[in-house]
Amino acid sequence: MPQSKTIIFMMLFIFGFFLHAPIHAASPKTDQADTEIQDDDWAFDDEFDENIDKPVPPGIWDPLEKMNRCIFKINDTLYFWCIKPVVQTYNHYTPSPVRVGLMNFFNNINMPQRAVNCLLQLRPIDSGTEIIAFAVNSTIGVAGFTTPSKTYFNLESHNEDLGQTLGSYGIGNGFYLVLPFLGSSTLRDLTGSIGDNYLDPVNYIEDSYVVIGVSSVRTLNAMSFRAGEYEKIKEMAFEPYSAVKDGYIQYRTKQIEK
Amino acid sequence: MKKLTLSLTLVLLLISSGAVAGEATQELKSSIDKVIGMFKDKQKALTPEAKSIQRKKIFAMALDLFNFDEMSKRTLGKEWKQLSNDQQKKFSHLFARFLANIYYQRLEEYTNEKVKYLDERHHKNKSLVKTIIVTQKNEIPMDYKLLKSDRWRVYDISIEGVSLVRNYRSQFHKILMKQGMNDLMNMMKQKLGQFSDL
Repeated sequence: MPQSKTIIFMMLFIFGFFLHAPIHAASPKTDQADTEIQDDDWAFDDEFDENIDKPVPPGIWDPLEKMNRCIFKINDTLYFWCIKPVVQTYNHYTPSPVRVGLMNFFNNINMPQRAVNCLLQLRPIDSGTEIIAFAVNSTIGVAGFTTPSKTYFNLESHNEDLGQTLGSYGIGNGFYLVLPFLGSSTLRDLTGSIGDNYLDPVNYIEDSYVVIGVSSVRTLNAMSFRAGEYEKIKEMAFEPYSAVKDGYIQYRTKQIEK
Repeated sequence: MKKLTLSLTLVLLLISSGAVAGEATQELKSSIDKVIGMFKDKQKALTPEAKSIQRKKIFAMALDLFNFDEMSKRTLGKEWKQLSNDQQKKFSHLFARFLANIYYQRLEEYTNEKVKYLDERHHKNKSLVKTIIVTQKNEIPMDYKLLKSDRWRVYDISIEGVSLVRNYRSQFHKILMKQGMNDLMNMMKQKLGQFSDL
């Protein structure tokens, strides 16, 4: 994968460039009222949103908003015209236990990503837990289709990725991105997922058609558990683009905190 | 010695139960149990008339459970202060009906999920209650922020770390930047039109 290597270097280069930018850009139109901080107990107050005058914390820089909105629209159309019917058909013909089994299988083989990222976050015990869970599930758990690690051994899984690892190092989001097909991301998280690709065993299969096939099944199966989610988000939202953007950033921030 | 251990365990029990189920948790739990109770026997509300009665009941319960004024204030942020009293009332009324409708819609999908109450924290007149919704497939963390007035009422819900108030604030902020308050109110009315009126 020499191409993606150059992409990573390019990303890291851009990263270094933008690292400081978002801090200023994240709080656009800082009006006089925004700077009022009423309490010294800032951290605790923030948890309870004491300062309601503050504009949309934590905020995210979105310099490519026009392009992002355009891709968002395309993704929206794709969802209703293509993805939704395919997922519905898949759900119709695939019984739930099969889908759960497949999900477990793909989660299990994704162990390297979790273990390595736990390690990179200096959490060796969690990393070891991942490896033990993998050993247990791959053997007793019938090649990972069931999760005895959870049901019998009570081992908690840590859904870590490189984006979160970078976040835990204090690297900011950079800026917001909407990717074709894949949806919400940020410069940091995209960089992370490119790195995580190297830890994905599926990518080490030699036949590229098999890689595409396996990846498609994995994606489709994962989508099948989230059928109807997007419709609900749209139904609840007044401004779907902002709703999805803010939801993604809040979700990732929480994941990094964990 | 036996007496000592007994009294110690009693004290421990009292402390632990007090820590897990504070006043806010208890009030929240009783409200949620009441609401969920209505959806446990689903057959009751199949006809449109029964549904509209159920909706009205849920709205009444939601007024006990949520502090809609506080929610409106927080979602608008500093724009709230620029509104006249009359506008504030109108906005808060619309937003309340919108949220209650969403709440009702989600409840209709209720299929015996369990709510586990984990933790409660206090700060002045506010409380944070951490819960987990246990479904057949997974567990969804859900945090409630409550404010004490005549009783504890919820002013924000975070689902998997995504705060409802913050999410709406980001949307309203965008809309108010491009358009105005009147447009936002009209959008709300339009959205409400999708649901049958409460």
